[in-house]
Amino acid sequence: MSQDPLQGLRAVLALRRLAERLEAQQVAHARERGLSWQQIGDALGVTRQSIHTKYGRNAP
Amino acid sequence: MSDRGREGHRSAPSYSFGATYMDACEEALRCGDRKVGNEHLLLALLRDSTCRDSLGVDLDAARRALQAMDEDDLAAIGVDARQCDAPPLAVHLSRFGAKLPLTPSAKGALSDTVKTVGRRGLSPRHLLRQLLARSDADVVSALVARLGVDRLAVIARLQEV
Repeated sequence: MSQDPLQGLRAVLALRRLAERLEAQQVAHARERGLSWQQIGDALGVTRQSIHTKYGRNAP
Repeated sequence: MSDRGREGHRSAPSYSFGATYMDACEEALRCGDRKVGNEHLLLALLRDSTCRDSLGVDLDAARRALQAMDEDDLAAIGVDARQCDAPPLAVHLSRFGAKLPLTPSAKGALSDTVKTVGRRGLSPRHLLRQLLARSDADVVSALVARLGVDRLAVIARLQEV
């Protein structure tokens, strides 16, 4: 590891942000392809409810 | 709390950080962050014309620069984020009734601003000055450098306003 330590630390946060945005993108894609909330929740290792609450049309 | 009767004051009579904080929450959520950091406060302040003019940067340019900085930082650890289709999140603030917490550094920036200026004369540019004056290690420093902003010159200019 030769890079600037600050840049390396910023990259950790950048990766978390990327993961968050990627999740939203992939969930939307899965819904378009007809996957159920149950299937999406299972794939992400969370409950159907929690994924639906986060991304469903009627999200609070 | 009423701020009436202070109309004669030079600054906006009732500016408090509330609106800036809400805008900063929106920016954080948009990025995919769970906390409001100094960079989000900076983006929020770009809705204010005095702040925008003194930096010479608009909101879109700053958002793009932040994203480009992420991509560079990730490239440095071997992740090619440019290949990822993961656009900024569409934010419906009403969805997130819960407010995001501030990072310790953002909390410090807000409280230091109040300490320096007091609550009465508070305006967005005071917070901007405080954000720019944080350490060289702060993400805001990296961001404004990337935008070609001379941080120290802006700090000096803001003192005169």
